[in-house]
Amino acid sequence: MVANKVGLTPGTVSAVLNDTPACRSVPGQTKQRILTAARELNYKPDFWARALRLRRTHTIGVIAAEIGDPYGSVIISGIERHLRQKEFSFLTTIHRHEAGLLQSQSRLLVERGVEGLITIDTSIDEPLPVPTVAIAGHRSVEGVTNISINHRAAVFSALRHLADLGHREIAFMKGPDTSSDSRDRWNSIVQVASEVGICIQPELVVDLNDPEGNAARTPEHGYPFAQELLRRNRRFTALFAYNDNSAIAAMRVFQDAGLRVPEDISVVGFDDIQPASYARPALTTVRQPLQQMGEMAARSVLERIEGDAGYVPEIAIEPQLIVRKSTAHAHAFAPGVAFIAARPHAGD
Amino acid sequence: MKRAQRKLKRSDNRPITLRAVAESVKLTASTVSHVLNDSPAARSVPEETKRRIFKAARELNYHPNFFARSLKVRRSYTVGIIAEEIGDAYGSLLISGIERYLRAHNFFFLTVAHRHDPKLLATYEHMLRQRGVEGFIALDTILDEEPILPSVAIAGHRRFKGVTNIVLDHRHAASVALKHLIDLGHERIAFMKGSPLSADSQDRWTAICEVAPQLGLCIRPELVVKLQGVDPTPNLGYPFAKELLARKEPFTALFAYNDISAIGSICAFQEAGLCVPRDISVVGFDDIQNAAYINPPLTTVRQPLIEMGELAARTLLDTIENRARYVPEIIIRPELVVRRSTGPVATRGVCVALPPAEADPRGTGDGATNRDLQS
Repeated sequence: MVANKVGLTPGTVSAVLNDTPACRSVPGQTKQRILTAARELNYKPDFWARALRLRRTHTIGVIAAEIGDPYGSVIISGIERHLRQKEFSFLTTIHRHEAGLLQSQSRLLVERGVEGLITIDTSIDEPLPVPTVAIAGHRSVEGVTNISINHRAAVFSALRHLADLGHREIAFMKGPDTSSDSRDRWNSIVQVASEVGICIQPELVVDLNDPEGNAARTPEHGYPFAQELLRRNRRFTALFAYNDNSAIAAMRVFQDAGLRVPEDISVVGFDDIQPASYARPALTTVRQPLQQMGEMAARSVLERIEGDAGYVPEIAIEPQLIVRKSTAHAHAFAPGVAFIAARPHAGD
Repeated sequence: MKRAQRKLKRSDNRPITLRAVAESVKLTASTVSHVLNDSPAARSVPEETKRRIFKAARELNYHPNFFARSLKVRRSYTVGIIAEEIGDAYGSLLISGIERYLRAHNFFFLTVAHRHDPKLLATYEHMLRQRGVEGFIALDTILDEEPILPSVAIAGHRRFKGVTNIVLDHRHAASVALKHLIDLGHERIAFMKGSPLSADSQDRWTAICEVAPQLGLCIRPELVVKLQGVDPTPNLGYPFAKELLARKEPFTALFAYNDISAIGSICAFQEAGLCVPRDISVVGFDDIQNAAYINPPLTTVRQPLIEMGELAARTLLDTIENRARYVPEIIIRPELVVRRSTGPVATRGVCVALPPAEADPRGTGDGATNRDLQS
């Protein structure tokens, strides 16, 4: 129909509309005419008819815990960047850690013909019927490629940095049970701490668990946990938080209680989300290259779809410690926390 | 076993049909179809049989053919989101709201980010249409021409027939922000205009220019800077705040273009030894998540981004399914969130911004922040 209208062969029209190499020889003006006619006629190549014929949809599914936060959204941005270059598109679904949603959503995505899946901060229980790459998935499931940070190296760089600055009494925030990164990170902390001569004191460990599983998701949700740490009235000179959000929460709570960061307490975060660099003081943190992790996940899943590469169970990302202003030498005469925390907490 | 079947399926390229599932459980195709589609007729099927059917479908890796069905009903239950960026606080919160509504209504979405590349933008509409989307939601995107499919634009600002624009009441936004500053005694207020690449820039500035004189406020050209570039980090505002200081024109407050540029400005002011809000009050725009957690927490005009995303999705589905009459525009009234970055103007007269070299000791320790911002 489009071809009739512009008086050209269907072959030419198809070449232009599909932007194939053959259309290079078509003059620009003709291309314009074809595109205008296609628009006027509301022409839409039948994607499904073709998908049905070729059994290809050039679509993958992305299942994430959240997209409205600086973690998930940056990873998805990286995924988009790579897929677009390869002319793939993606459907996104967000489960917000709601039980059951993951199962039904992955089924729906597969029904819609996605050729592969990328999951973000999502625990998968069973193998999925299409090639799958998990970012921060952390359960080894057959057929699923895990992209995860080298937790050992990450924890080592952070604790080494604190130990070098003379910190021995270090408080820890342990991640929430709902986050797939929590366990791996904590195991590494326990291992590495003894190697660098740091003794983990149970009274200096807070669990970021709350009923909704939100504790690490925004600084606001992290406040009560940092306050809890102060209430315990045990001296510590540094805090290794679970992530940047909880680190930013802790700095705020410490400052509100009249403590100075880093003079009284050094704070180290994890992730290097954007706000880390403009927190006050700017946060020392372990960087996860989120954008690249997204791109890598996309590349890996496409390679498996196209059969260019075999299955690899794991891709480890090397972290990088970004030293900013929230860490400093532990002072022998610093009051530490106990001194100040004895006062009633004045925060809001 | 599953693995072998998957291989088989992939190599012979033939899908497992409903019939194959029916044969494996020795039931009729229609019974299997009723159960798998949970149709009312399935009610009479014993639970045990249902379980057998589901088990067989799972083992055979059977997926109802969405495409065949779509082809028949000419529906894809998919919409396309065209965003400027998805990795930033603005786009990602809008998408989060859109996702919430669409999922509740069994719709999916495809997302593309053009990052202000006009060439990409031009191909996206075509690409998404090829994939059968039933409508578009455009975020902070200036559309070139009237889209063919039902469309909703957030911060779009060019009027096209058939496109519902979800827009902020910019006059109201400017009015609440400026009134707040005037009530605190500010008269010399600096402004950051948005980059021409951001769809909201023009409307926001026009509203400020209209509202200011009504409130008896004079906009001084020497206190206006225009952002450039599309950096989604506080780098966006940082150099322009420095430029404002370098002009050595005293001012006691800044109304930034958005939160990100406000945060960059606060960094620049603090590095120059100025105290926010004692020396300069700062008002942002958007109320992104981090606005509350910077030091000092930012006073800002809140755009209810998640709700706006949900509203966009609802409006689009209503249009697609002919449930509601087309409206060209939906106006969202923002509210001012007062935090700690604004305060009364200093009583001892207007502050003169000091160049960084004369800054107080605070400036010396902050070199790294500066580097971070520029890296």
